[in-house]
Amino acid sequence: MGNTLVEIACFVETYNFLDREEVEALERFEGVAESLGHSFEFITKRSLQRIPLYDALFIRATTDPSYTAYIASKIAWESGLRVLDDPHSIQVCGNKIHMYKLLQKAGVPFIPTLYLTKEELHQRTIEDAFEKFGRPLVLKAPYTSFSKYVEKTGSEWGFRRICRRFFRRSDVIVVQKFMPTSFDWRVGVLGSEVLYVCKYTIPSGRWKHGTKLRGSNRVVWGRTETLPRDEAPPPLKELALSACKAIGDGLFGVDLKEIDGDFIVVEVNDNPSIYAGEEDRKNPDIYGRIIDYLAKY
Amino acid sequence: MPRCTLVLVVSDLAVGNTESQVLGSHTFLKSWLRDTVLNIQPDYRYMRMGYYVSMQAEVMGCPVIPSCQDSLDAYRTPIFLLRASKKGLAISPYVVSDNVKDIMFEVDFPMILFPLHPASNGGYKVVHSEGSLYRAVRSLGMNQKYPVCAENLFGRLLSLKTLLGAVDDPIVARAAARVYEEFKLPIFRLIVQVVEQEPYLCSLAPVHSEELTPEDLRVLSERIGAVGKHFG
Repeated sequence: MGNTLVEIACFVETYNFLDREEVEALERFEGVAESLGHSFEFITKRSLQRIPLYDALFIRATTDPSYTAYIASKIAWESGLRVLDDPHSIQVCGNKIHMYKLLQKAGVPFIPTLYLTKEELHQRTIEDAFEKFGRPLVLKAPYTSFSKYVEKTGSEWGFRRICRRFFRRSDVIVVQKFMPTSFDWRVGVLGSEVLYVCKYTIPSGRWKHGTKLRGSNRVVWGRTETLPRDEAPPPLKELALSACKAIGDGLFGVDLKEIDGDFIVVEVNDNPSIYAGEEDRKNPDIYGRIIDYLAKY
Repeated sequence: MPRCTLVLVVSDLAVGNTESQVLGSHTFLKSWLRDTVLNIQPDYRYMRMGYYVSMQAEVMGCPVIPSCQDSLDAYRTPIFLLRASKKGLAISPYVVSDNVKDIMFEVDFPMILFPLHPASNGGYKVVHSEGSLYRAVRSLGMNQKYPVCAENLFGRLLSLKTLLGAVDDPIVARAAARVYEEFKLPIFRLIVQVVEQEPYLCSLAPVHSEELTPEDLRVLSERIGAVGKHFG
């Protein structure tokens, strides 16, 4: 590679190239890396064993401890590469129970939450949950991502039905208070610094940023409104940084709700979405900052 | 936060001895106990109760065997092989891919294939031809959504239940003990192939509760006291 400074591998799956804005963002990462003198190469699940040949790994495929992206991250980590997202971040953020327990330990305010084990799914527990959180409440599988596996219900019957489905993959699930807002804040954080701030709006008549249409596989997404990070409310940024501090030191997207002027954490995500014209709209330097982070030794 | 001082055995199996306190998984998850935890379960797969017990202990800042990280790594065959080889253990030659041609280029028949999809629970397939390899890659990879780990099968294949590092096979005993030293899973199934009295690691899998005999539980109970030395 001649005068290349750092050789960066970017782990992707085929679905990363389905959305035009995501493809454009990946091309911007590639362009910025090359303009800084680094090489930037896309790799897939067929090239996992080549990972140790690179200096750094940037994961853009969906991360979860049970997905191939975790294997990629772990191979990179064990081989001494700089890696985003590192295995610990994937382990914690990939499991919302782990994440909430760390937030709780650190005293970070988050949505009122209960944990429910498979064996506890009986009438008394369900009644207690409704009594505590009111109707409806939200059930969340620990492996949720992109608004999937988060459902609300106001009935005992619905509660049982959703739980049984979520319990197929996890022995513990999350029960939360329903706190509707017209948008969620998203704060992108890299290495304990705020990278970008935006608002993920909730589509009209819905309660999640991404909602599947009834009887169809199509997902309706709310708009993304971005603001310069310097103009975002300081308490919002401080809370997002505190939440990340409880988890690790990588690239995170913190979702927060603003209720009566106070902020609370919804969740901390590793591997946050970066789409051209959305997260980067008012903070175009995010590509360079991420590449610099990967290239730093 | 108070220091962790006692060794607490968390298990849903009938294990324990007079020197140890044993707590069930559900009771432990609801508690805020801050002891050193020995988590004895047949299955530590991600999002199963064995995993959540270790997670709870780690969140509380308590030393725990096994750690979440070790549980995650042990059951993902390429990571298991990578970490084992870094410790100097002999492993079977392998390739990770979803492509039949790539696999055949790197590994000779017969092959043993391990799935890497999220629902895998320690199963594997042995293939002897390109046709059976093609079918196995499709089924184990969920229609090529996930890669598989393909290893060359050149010896006698063994699948051995390992209890706190001990295994009923003298040829594999030392390797099993070293795997336990590295990953610290109290109960696991070790899949190895043996060639000329030498074991080559293939993979590691969970054990089903029903596979544990009363004699296994007695062995586990006896050995609990000796585990303290593994806590750093």
